Amino acid sequence: MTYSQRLKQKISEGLEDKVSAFVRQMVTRVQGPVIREMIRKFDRDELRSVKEYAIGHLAELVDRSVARLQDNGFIVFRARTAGEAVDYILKLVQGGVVVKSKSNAVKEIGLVDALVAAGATVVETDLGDRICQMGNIPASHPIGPALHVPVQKVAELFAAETGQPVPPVPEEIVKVARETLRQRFFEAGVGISGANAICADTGSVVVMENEGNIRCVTNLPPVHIIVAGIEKIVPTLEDGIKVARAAGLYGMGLDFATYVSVISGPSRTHTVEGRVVYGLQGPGEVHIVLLEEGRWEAVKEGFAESLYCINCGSCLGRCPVYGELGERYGHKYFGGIGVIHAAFGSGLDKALEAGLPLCLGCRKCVAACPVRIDTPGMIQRLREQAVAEKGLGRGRKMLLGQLLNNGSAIQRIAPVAGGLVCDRDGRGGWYPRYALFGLEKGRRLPELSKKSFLSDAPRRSGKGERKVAYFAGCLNNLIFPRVAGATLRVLRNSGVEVIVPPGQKCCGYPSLANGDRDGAVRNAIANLRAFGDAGVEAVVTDCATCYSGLTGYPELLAGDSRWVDSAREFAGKVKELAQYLVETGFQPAAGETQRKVTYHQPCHLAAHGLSHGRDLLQSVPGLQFAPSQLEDNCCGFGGTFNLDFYQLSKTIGAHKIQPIHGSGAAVVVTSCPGCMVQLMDLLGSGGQPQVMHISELLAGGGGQHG
Amino acid sequence: MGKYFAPPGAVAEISARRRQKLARNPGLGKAYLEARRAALRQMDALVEKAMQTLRAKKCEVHLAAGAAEARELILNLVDAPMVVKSRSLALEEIGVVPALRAKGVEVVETALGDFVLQLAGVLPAWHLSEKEILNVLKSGLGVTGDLRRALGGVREHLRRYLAGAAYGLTGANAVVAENGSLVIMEDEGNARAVSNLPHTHIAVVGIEKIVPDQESAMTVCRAAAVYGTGQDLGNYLSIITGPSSTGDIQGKQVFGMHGPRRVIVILLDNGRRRCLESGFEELLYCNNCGACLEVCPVFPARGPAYGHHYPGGRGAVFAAFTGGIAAAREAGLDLCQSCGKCREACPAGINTPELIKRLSRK
Repeated sequence: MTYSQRLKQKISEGLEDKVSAFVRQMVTRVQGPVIREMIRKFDRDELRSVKEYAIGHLAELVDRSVARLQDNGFIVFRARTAGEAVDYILKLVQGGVVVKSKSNAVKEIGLVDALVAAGATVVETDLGDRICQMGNIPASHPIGPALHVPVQKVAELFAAETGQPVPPVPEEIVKVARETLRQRFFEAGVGISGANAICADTGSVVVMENEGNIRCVTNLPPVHIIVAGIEKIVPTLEDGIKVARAAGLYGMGLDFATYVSVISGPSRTHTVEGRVVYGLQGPGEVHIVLLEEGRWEAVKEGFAESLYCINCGSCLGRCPVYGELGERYGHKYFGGIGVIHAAFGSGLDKALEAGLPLCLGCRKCVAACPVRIDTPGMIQRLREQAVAEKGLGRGRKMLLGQLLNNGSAIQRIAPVAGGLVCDRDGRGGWYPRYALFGLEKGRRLPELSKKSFLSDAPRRSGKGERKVAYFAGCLNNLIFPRVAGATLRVLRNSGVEVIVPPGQKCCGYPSLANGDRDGAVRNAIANLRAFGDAGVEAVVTDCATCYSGLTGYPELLAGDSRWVDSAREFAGKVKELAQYLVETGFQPAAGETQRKVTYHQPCHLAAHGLSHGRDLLQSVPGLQFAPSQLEDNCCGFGGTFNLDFYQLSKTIGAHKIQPIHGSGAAVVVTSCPGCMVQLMDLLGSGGQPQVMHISELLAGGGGQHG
Repeated sequence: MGKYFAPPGAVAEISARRRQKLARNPGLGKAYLEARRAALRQMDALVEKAMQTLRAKKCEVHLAAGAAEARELILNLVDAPMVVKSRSLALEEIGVVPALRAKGVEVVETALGDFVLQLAGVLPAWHLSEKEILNVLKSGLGVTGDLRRALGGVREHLRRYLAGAAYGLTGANAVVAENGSLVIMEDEGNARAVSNLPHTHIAVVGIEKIVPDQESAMTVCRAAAVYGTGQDLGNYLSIITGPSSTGDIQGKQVFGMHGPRRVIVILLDNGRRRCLESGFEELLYCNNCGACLEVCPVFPARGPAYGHHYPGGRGAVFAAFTGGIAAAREAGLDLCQSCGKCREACPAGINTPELIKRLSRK
């Protein structure tokens, strides 16, 4: 997959904008725990089924809601493209003051610029948006866009607006803002808003907010224009309320937003003559522009799930890439879901520029989503399209096809060749002298092992009633044979017979993440062949990423009738090392007791709800466990992501350094060799704290099954 | 001037619309009744829960045992020369408007009908014809032209009051206990303005309006709209959960951004618990939709003389719980002809003739 210069530029801009990144991360840190506590009782399956139904019956629902909206007196315009939507609205707005509230759809069609060009004065009415508008300041956060603006600056902006001194105190500024914006509401000829949901059965529009500005925008000017994507349509009023509830919970940590307004047409009353007259205290004319742009294409090409998004922004709060880059990751809509949106609204090139290569695959967004949208899965499929169109690139082909391909010539010569182009630090670290394969100069790499693990692994070892097959994975094979060895020892010492099937390959995850589905399928089939007749109760891996890769085989091979059954059987047996040990009642014997130990939770285990590594550590007799904050934050490694976007990768991971040091631990244990590579780089060559795989710690202490 | 009830043409129009909506949603009456019953079964718990959640949402909450207590609360709160209000039977019930006026506070009605009546200086009648409305607006506001233009004049006129009022008085169609939300339904947009533009919003709500969750509140609103005006839903539903706030300046929460910085909720008992305890629970199923009044043979002729704050037979029965049996008789308890048409028209099937009989026997 290739990526544009524009994306590289956006990344460096984003990495330089540390203030806005700090604000985003602070909001997540403060709000995250509140939201996580509040959403515990929320039924995600229920909301998902609402959206599944709605998008699954979209054409029918659009027709039905248009009819009902029109019955209610709305003037409905179906805009096939953003351009059509803008043209329609420009015919309605001849200039004058336009008040608007926050809306992604309005932003999507570029309406504000068009209105301004046409001579209108567009006034943002959400306080944060207004501050950014007055100061021409880029937003730092989707819900609190001006959180990074110092209060003195905000006071200055309002002082300039009113010509009066404004004290730099939030309460005082709010008073002034209320008054100045109130005047704008009363003088505006048009109010423009988005919609959180459109209810097909009652022909109603649902909007939600905390400030009350949307209530003013939609009630005070004589004309109200609503812009909404067709994906906002849900079957019933109650569904619309569910969407609003979810957006409040997941987006703001509120069990219900302060104001949820359900609007079913222009302001009206019924006279005794049975007539309906319009335009009492609310607007007499309400237009609703239903935006289709890119939506039908998304449905047609199998990306309907992207339309389940309710724009709550919850995913953004958890996305490590968005945390650093903010609005630079995405296009009109932010983060991974914004990349997908770009692909169907503006094409694959725009998606590449929006950050198609940036998703780490950590799946934190899926966990954070009220609809459980599989954004990483869709991104992966778009990457496949990008590879199909533009090719994989020579370097990437060599890396995925040769270096990670067991027994290849390159794999055999790499340790020697690597040694020639790198300096050693004597503690297992390499420093590349040249930029090769995207490896930047100055970074610390773990030394490639002179001999790969699989080249002389024991085919069969240990004795016991239990019998498992071991899947080594590329990083253990090439860099950490000692981890693989430790894993075998732990299993053997606890009375498990271990076989190491020859012919096993890379799990395929790196290929898939790079959009090389064919490569991933080839590896999957090779592994199914290698493990096919092992006759074991489990396939154990000690790599979190391999766990993700191997358990994904049924999906990967879903279309291949020859392999799908064995893929299912195989995936059912795959166990992560700690998971296998805990599930089989393994009791660790005395282990590390001298030094404090902390844990790093790999994303690829968190995504599957696995936390056995941490549990196991805590059950080691005498072990001083020192929890560190942000334990399950992504380390930023992301496999080839770390090669492609090293600075970004390191910036993401850097958030872990302070908490790890803060825990006072002398050892950081994790369950993923990928995370180990990154942590070793992050924590530097000082060797403190020491980075260790959980199997290394357990192998030192032994233990047995209960 | 005016009629106590809409002429047959308008009634026919509403019933035709209602039939059409009910054909699409035939279970609505039953769902409504079940929602009400479920709420009333746990009324005490819901009152407590609602008070707790409303407070958690930074509303100021009062539980008023009687009309006088509620009225006094408002009289003591209002320290401004003018307040705006939207239509609410609970506000009528506590007689706060005359009390405020007696104190010298100007009370401005913002619903068209109420405003026109106020302008005409007549007591609550029910419906004015378009022509009568135009005449009143012409002599009262000096606006001329067709109805649409005249309404523009009303809009401008009322907007000055809405913009300048420090207090806005409303009722509510429901209070949602789980979230501490007020739900207000209307067609004109005046209740939105009343509950959004002043610094303080005061809502008076009978405790029977408390429902456990948002879904029940939606059922209540759907029923009120379909049975009341033959619409799927009132034009505006405002679900208000606490005062307006922003956190946009350095994350500090400040109240009173665009909407009110104070929301005061007065939960009104005024005989409702007695209703429940003395076997008149049915009375509290009422959603004030008015469907019963359309078919009542007595109401069109008697108008406000039949009922007390709440119109018709149901209002007469309720008067017994707020003012004793004498008040009920004064409200026309004996006028009911026991035809039972109101029961058929009622979404909850309230058997008002039976309630009247039981009350008379007492």
